Amino acid sequence: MSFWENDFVQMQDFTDSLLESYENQEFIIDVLKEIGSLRKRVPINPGIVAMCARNIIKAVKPEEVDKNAKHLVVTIDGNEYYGETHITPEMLVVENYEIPQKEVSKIFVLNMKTLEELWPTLVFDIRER
Amino acid sequence: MDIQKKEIYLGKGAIEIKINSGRFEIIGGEYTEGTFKIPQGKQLPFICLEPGSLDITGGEWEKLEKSTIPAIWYEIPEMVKKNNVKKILVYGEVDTGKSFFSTFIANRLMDMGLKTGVIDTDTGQSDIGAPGTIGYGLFDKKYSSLSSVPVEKEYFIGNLSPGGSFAVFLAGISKVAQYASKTSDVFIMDTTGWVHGDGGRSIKRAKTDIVDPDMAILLQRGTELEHLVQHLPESKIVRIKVSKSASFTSQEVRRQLRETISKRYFKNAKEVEFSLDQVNFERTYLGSGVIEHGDFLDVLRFEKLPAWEGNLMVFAENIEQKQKAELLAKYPNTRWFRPSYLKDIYVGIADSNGFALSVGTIQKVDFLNKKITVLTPLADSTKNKAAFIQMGLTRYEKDGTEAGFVVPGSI
Repeated sequence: MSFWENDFVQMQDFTDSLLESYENQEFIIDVLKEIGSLRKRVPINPGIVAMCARNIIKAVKPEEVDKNAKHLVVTIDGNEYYGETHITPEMLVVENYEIPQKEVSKIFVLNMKTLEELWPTLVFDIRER
Repeated sequence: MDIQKKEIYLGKGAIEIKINSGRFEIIGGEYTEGTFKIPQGKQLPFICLEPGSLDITGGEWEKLEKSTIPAIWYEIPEMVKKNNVKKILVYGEVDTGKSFFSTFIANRLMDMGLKTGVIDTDTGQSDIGAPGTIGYGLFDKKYSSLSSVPVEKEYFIGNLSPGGSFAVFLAGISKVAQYASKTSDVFIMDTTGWVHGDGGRSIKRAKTDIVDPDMAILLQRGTELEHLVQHLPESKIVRIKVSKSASFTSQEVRRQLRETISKRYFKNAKEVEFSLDQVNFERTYLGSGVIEHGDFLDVLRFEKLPAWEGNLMVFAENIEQKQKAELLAKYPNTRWFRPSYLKDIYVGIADSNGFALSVGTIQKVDFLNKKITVLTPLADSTKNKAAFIQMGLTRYEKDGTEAGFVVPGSI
């Protein structure tokens, strides 16, 4: 048979695409940490972890920016800025960087509630060894 | 409520229906009395054969214009008898009515005088047997639900999905199917709804090869199951359009249905203590190595595992971080945990043949006195048959509420 018998590969596929799609290392590390957290929470279902992982990175509009959350702001020329973000009438301010709104291509925020949203019946306390 | 001849109703759970008078066909069996409890998320059609009256409590009770049961359902038992079919495999996606169909066919076959068994392989929605088991039951009479069929044999998987437990799941399929072949004229294997993707395809193909069915029944909406039976001769395949009344069951209702079963199991459970001289651990590293008897501070158990597998250590509950770090630095290739990590792990209590006598949850392991305490409904009379404690991958609270997972390979 030419089938995978384990869904771990789906998680690997996601991390591969993560590395191909983004350059900001702090952002990538935060996504990987969240995948690690999901693995701890649902250790026996890598397919569900992969499904949640694909929903961690959420695109938002400028007006949806939450000043208490970290965002990845991607400019039209492909630069990536990651950190706590707030919006002014003309700018997106990511930590110490001011980016004119007209130069912003995409904004992403990390969704740390994917398991609660997609598989609420698998939300349990983690038992420590 | 008075019901006229030929009237058809659909009871949608949670509902209770009591027959006061008349004669009714329910899921392939005929009844003149009895009370039928349909749980939340399930439904059951009642066909009136002779006028009578029913008491209906709760749920929904809907009158249907015609029977939702296709004519071919009535023909299949005849085909089974005529062609001397011994093994039937039922395929279908989730919510296609596989369990309902299997119950219907089993009732008809039983009525025809055949010793009929049903193997329930849907570990996440176990009807026959405990959650996370492959259960086998014999139709000694007609049943309105698989969950009422007494368990003849049970094989513990310990996971609500075959994914991540392929090997033990297929081993269980093989063992239970062999047993069913020996103890029934015909058995029906009710399968999981996992039929697509790499995992679904590989496990269904393997299951088909293991069972080698005389009849493969596809409950499908279109042609979505054809890929599973491409290798089977056409003469073995029966295709059935899925009943439109097959209902969608949400994630939350599925959990409720699962917990209804687990809570029922644990309702009559009590703490049973086993000597670790009587029972061995299975499906875990624990108990599989050579015990080291040195003086290891705060280590309750130290096993040398074979080959490259390293060591296994059970630390004292109150071991200090520094002491733990020193031990793990000295023995780097070590699986470790504290006894409390074992609490609430779902286990099978198996006989020497590997079949489950019962299920339970670990309450305590006393490594110093070599004792394990399991919360289980195991009958006192069968305690002495227990040979193995088979570790599962899930946990339950004392009342049967689902309580999380075990990291595979961690114990």
